[in-house]
Amino acid sequence: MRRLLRVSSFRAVLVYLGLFLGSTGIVLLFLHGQINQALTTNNDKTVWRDAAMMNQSYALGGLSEVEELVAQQSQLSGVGVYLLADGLGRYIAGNVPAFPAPSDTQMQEDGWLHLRLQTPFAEARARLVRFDDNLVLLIGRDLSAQQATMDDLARSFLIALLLLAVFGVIGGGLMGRQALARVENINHSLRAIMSGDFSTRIAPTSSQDELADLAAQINEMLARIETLMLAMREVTDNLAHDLRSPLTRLRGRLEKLSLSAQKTAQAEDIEQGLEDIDQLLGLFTAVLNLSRMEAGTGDMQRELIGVKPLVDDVMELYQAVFEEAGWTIDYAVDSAAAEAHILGDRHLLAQALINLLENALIHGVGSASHLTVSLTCRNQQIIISVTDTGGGVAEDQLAHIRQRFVRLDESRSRPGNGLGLSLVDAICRRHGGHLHLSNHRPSGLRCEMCLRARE
Amino acid sequence: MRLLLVEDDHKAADLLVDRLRGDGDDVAHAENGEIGLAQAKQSEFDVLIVDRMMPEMDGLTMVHQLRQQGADTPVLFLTALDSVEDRVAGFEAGGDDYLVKPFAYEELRARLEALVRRKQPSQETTLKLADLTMDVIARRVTRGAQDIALQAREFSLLEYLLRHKGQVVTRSMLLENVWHYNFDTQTNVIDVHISRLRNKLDKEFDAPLLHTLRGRGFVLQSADKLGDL
Repeated sequence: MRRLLRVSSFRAVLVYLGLFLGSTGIVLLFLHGQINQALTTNNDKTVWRDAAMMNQSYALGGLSEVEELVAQQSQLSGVGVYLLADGLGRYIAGNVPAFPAPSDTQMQEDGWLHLRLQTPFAEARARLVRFDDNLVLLIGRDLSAQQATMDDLARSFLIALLLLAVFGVIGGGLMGRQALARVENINHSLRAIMSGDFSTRIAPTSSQDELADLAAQINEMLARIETLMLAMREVTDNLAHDLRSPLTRLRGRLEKLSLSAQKTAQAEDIEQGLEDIDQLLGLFTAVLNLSRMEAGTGDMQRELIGVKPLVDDVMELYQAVFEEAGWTIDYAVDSAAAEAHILGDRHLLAQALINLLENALIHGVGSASHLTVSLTCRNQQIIISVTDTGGGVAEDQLAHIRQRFVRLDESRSRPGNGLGLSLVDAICRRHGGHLHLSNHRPSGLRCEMCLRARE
Repeated sequence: MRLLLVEDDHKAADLLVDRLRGDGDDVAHAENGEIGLAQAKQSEFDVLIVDRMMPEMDGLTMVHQLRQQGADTPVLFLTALDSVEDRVAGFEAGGDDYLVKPFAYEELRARLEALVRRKQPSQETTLKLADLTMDVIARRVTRGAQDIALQAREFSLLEYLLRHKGQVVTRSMLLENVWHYNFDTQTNVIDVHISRLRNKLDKEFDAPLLHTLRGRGFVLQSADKLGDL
């Protein structure tokens, strides 16, 4: 529901519904007043006709005639209210026994009286007709029927408003959900694209609305990005070729020289030259791989990989190296992680983990070197954690060491090119995760590859 | 060995041809895929070394066509493209091995030897060298009368060495074929595993079998035959 409330179309429906219900309410209120008014006018006309008839009968037959007519009318079961009285207000005929007390009588602006009466009547709207000084007729109509009608009407109006509100919210919810589903469709595609699958496109829908337009625009944009990436891919491939070809020749020449220079003074220089070429090439390869990985143009397999076998394999390869170097090792896998899978590239992930292990081996040496590797899985997040017991990294440097070519002063003398952590970070990102670095107490660096598990 | 090098970079090709001829190989050179394909069809070679990026016909197309015509000569791709996808494309086109430029000559040499010898059937299930015997099916290794207990990966490592006995195998060949990783590592990880295997294999015996050749790699061979390498 909270997600639905965030959908703009659902919110728009709610706002519109509020306005619609408000204005409908006002219209119904007006209608209610108008109907009430019409019924009153109608009543008044009847009373006037009645009064005219009484007047006529008085003119023709005097008191006895009127008295008889009043008595006759009073007998009719209906809504007519009659009281024929003498000059002192004493009852002569009619269905009301006496004039109501002044507190129960109210003079309206239009000259009509509003009366509160005893049973069987409730309230009445009446006029006073004076035949002569000694004869007065209170003539009117009981209002309870009209009021009951108006109450029924008001109730019907309210029910109608409520139904409108309910249908409106349901309809809005359905529309919002549909919009949400379509936006979710776009989001799903975008997530795949952001993790590097640039061939993904947003699936077209049958409708021709603004969301379909948006999807089409995004697809067009993706096509252009893909073209640019392919172009960049071609550039880096060509660069690789153009740089590697002369290096290959150079290496070949040096090797040839080293054959004839064996055991001479130049042999060592040549050997050094070969090492330099290999180092240069290593750096070049690392930069190229990193750029491709960060730009998302690097190749990446997408297969379902068991995380534990992957880490097991790497640990099996490196355990011996750490042991030979005098390290002690802890390697733990929690039960959730043992079954966890990742959608990604086995080689890249293994390479990332190997980078972390080699980092620990080179930079994490402490007085009693200890390596802790753990594999955990919580809330669909897999964490491969590598912790050493070396000197760690100053807190203010933690954010920097994953940047390209950043090498802390104290590690400049050790092997490496300052790209290892950058590459691990880029690989994690290509897998929809990230690399988290922290200092471990009492000393040491903890590197965590945080990755999304595949359900 | 009779080799055909298909490479458009003349200078690099000359250097390589010189070096291979210096080692006693019979080397032909073709400067693009079309000529290479024609030459490969004309005469019999032990192994082809094919550059991937060439004008006219690139290496992938050439090898693909060669395979379609039924030739099974081993092919080693030389390439400046080192991504996994490029590798996969190379193997799919019919390549047997893949070497990224620039490479150490010894690395190429070792891989060529491995490719040429692989042509001979290697489906044996009992592998032997001197007094060392490996029963691949029973997963049992003995030296002389003595059983040697190996862990799973040590067994695979020894099996690979035995199947390439007498040949130089390089670190990256082992990493690729035993551990199935195809990237270089910064540390001496392979040396550590070799030295552990050597401890189990050679320590208690007079004649060492597993040797390290500096700058080249490792070889499993009786000491008296090492001179040929």
